[in-house]
Amino acid sequence: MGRIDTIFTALRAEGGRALMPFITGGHPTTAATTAMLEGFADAGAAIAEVGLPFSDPIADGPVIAGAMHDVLHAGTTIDDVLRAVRTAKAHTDMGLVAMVSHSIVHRRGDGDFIKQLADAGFDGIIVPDADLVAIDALLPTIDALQMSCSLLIAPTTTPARIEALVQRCRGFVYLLARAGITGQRSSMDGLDQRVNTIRQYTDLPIAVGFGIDSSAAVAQAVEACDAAIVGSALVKAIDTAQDPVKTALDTVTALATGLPTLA
Amino acid sequence: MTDTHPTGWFGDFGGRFVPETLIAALDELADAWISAMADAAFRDELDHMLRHWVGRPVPITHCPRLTAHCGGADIWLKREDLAHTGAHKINNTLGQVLLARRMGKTRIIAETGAGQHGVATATACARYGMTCEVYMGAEDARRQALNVFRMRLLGATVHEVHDGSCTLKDATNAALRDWMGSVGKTHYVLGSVVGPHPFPDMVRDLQSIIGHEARGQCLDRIGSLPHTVVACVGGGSNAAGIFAGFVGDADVRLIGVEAGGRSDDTGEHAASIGLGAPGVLHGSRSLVLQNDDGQTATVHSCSAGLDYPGVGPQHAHWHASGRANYIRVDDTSALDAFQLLARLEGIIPALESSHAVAAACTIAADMSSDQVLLVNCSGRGDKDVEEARRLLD
Repeated sequence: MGRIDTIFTALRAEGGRALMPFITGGHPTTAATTAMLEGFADAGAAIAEVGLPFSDPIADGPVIAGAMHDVLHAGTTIDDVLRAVRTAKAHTDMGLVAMVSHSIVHRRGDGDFIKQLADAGFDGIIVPDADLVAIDALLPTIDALQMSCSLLIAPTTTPARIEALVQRCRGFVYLLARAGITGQRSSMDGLDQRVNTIRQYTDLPIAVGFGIDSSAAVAQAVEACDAAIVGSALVKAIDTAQDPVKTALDTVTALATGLPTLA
Repeated sequence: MTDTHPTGWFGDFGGRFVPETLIAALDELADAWISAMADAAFRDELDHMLRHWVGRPVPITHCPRLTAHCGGADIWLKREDLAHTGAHKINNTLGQVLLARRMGKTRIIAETGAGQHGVATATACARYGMTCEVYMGAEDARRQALNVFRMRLLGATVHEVHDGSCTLKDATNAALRDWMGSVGKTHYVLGSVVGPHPFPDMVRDLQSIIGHEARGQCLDRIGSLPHTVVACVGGGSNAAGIFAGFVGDADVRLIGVEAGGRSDDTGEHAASIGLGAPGVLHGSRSLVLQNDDGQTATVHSCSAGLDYPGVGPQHAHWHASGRANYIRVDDTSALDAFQLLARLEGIIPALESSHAVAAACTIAADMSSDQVLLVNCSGRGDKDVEEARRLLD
């Protein structure tokens, strides 16, 4: 059983839910990335997502895209981010997943890159933009390393496509609360129905993201799902902070109050 | 292949590398395109508009003085410069706007680099009363202020994009982002044979009128097929269009011409096939210009229409299979050809097309006088006169 499976199995056993903060790797510095990842577990996160900076992040709104451009402009490379993660991994048992465009995965060697992610301490990968043909080519390596593999399900995704997607998911499924790009507020309207549709095809944990920016939104998201992902709201707070690490940890601490309290 | 959409691949190139939100829209578009092509009324309307509004068929023109100057093959031009708005772009935008209308979409978005595709999109939207919003990199908008005005004159809204390098790739990102939040009522008119399936198929089909017309015209007027067909390649839509008419004729040699820019150093050219490597950009796997991390490289060409870090996946496949050959022509040679065609034939080609003309001169010199070389003059050079003056002064 992979690390992500272990985390969700333990949470489910006690009726808990996961908070999954997203940060852009290297934003604003690789040292800050390390410090945030080392502190997130105590702040209440079960799993953290690290977005690898990409020059053309189509799915991301201005906040995350801007952070990625800043990181690349500063000369930070993918290897720099992997080093920052490896350093943090020595000091935390929190789950770590990489959110990475297939443009990077492919150019860095597909399966070889999955191994590099695992070596850096990642327990899983989220590929938001890969053709399923490409996912199928990665799965043998992902499975051999017992990593999670999360594909996105959108409000526009048809049931037939949901079935095809969840067959390729390992660890957890990533559900988009709404169409569009990251960083826009969303209502959770219709979330229950979409969760029910997904449940017809898989028992994997479901993490919901896009537009969650408060502890109340976290609470609402985890009523129907196993995990709440907080991305743009956190990246925005980090972007404007005097002390980015403290701000990141304080923000996650505040968001975690939306999680159910365990008996 | 276990994908639910096994079509959309050209050998190892193509596919759909896009955020999940767009998959349903691409499915809808692919189905709508197949259904439209099978609908005689749709084809009649497109044909009527191509004839009476775009001004097709455009002729092929013999170039006796250029032929004499180069020595060798007989050089002919396919005159896309004579199409409405002055380039082949209108073939695609008209078709896609008609399709969007048939799909019940009320809003059109597009990306543009130099502004040619934006103008062609705004033109088709004006004709059909569709809302049109064009994304253009802020740097491009500054360099091509006249085209920004032209689009606004045609009723379009131009959004300047201030992300990344503020050029075509960033405008494309912005258009894709818009589409993700607006797929219900909006159609994205992609300007070249790039992007996720079905765009490479659909745009090639809409541009294939270039090749089908040219093939018939060669048989009618010359009495034979050309020995060689030459076209410039940025994203590759004019080349895919003219190649489509001849790709089934195994004896016809197909040559694509990429922008060699100032040198072969990264950032100094836009030769995705000649100097790039397999990678994923803007929704498909193709040959692209990236660094070793998969980050998109900066590109350069004197011609804004060729200044793109990727190429259509079918071109990557034609290159891999050997069906077409791809060469590159540098800025200086293109500028020379720009002047040469103006002086010898009274035709000012677009700087994009000037790359094909420059290559044609070299290729023709190695051919015999009884062979025919057909060059796609994909656009007219009026838009480039000011830039050429700056570069030549």
